[in-house]
Amino acid sequence: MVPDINPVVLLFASIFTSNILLANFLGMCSFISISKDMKSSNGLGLAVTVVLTLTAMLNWVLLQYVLIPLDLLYLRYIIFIIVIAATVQILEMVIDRVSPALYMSLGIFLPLITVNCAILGVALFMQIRNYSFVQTVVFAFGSGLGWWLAIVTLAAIQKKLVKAPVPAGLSGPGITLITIGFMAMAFIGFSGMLSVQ
Amino acid sequence: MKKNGLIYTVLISVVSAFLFVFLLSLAYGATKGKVEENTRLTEARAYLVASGITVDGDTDIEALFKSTFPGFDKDAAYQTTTVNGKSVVVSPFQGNGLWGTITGVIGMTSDLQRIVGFEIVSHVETPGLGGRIDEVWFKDQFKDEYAANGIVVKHGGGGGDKDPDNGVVDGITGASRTSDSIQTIVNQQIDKIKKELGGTNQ
Amino acid sequence: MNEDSPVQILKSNVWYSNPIFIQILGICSTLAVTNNLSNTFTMTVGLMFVAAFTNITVSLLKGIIPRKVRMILQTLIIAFYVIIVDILLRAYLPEISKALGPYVGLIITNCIIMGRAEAFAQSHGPLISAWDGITSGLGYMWVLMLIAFVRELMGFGTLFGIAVLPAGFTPWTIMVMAPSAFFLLGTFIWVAKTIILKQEASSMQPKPGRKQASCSAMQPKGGK
Repeated sequence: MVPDINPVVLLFASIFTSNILLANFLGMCSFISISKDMKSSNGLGLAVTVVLTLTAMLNWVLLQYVLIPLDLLYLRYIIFIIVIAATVQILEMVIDRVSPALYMSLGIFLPLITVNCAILGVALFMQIRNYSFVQTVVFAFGSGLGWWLAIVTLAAIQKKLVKAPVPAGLSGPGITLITIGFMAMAFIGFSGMLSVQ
Repeated sequence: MKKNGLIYTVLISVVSAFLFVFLLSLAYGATKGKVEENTRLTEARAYLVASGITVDGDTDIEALFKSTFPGFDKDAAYQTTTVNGKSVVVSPFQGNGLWGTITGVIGMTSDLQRIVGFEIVSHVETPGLGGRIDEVWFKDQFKDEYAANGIVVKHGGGGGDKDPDNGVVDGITGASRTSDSIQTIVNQQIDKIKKELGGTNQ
Repeated sequence: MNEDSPVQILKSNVWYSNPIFIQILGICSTLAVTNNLSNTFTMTVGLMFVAAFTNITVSLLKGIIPRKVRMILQTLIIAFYVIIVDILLRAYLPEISKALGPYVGLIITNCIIMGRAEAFAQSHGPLISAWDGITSGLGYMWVLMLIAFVRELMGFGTLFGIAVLPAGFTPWTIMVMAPSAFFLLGTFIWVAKTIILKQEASSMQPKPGRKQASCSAMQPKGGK
């Protein structure tokens, strides 16, 4: 049964209240290493949003028209990850051919994305939650935007943090994680704004 | 053959992909029956628990289920049975949680005054947060709860509401939206049973 | 002492190059379930299993895998073992499988597994690679179990679902929610790093850092 969830609500929920990174901890790997620099954060955020939306659509179609009819649901992890890896490769080649300028700002981040758990996470969530096509697109796009918002915000905070006197042991990943914790708390504040029901 | 040659690369990729998928199909085939049995047992167990029967690890669920629901019809809106001399109405429910569909079974006394039992069959809420609706303390709160006017899932709390007469159960701390969903689902289901029973029995 | 002796590997994976607080790898898939000890335990055991078997397989196949498709084949091997774990959980531990939902599948994208396969199993024998996988899993497990211990104790007053704190204890809701995982992990890294810095200062000769694989470093270089 497809859950009866309003797409608009789903979009806001996936950006703010249930942010893929801050509430579900997905996509941390590249997040911490890249978030030091504003420009790269922006590029990576855009790349994640694009790839996330694209692969979620592809995976949804494969899931509904191939995996479920053929009773191959148990192979979904392999199929999803291959779709993601292939999409990233193809996208990289296409961008390289079509627009070298865009490649410089977006393409170089693409290889980082295959191992971004957020991408596979969204594919698995849309399968287990039985989303319709529209819900899947909205959820994937919202999750991407949410991730983008989180990494850009963190990059901005990190810029100020460079000047702060942080104890030697805490500097680096330690203080970054604690900062993310405060951001997660702030994002919880959004949950009063809407409910998925 | 050259190790980095095209033919060798393609060959190795295809062969290993085929091999891994083949092994997986074997593993899947070998456990398929077991998984289906698990699903069936979970559902049978939910019906038993919802009718107020205590089920523990040693219970022969299949046999007990057959004797409790001899004329079980999977598609019926509700089942009636008699447990310890009291007649019980048991019905499967389905509704939206925070993330997806929550399904389960709820049992009520035949006068629809009190809930007899409540059991979750499947849900996709966040593990450790909304997912705690599947924990025993939460489900046990529904036992004997007075529900003639519906129930209220209270925010905060989190320890379990012990009073069966107030129609209130404690929600899950930190998962207020899943708690709200449970309240909506249970109340809608009670209304639905009322209508069903009113239409056929009276 | 030989850098690749079993004891050295154990020490390195559990402390000196701990995947979590030194390499900051692979926290995504498991951090979400750390408000509950049992779920954390299942996830980390699953990870250990997948890491060990992936390492064995990659080590055995390292001679025949062409360079170009190495990444995708490693991913395939990891996905294979993760699906095995998922199938086993579904068949024999349905309750746990139900509780963890999609998080089991996310072990695939856990960078630790691919990181170890790439940095260790590619260049070592199968047995020692298996040991490397197990110890990496151990290093991962004890840190996350510690976080889960604090979160479950303070958030619910229970350990493994058994009430241990007196009934009058007011649970800290924040411990149940996501931010606490970040705070605890951050604090933990602070403590661990401070100790390591002290150790290095007192021995006056810093441990040679082992080859560290990060997710970004092990990416295929695309079509270029």
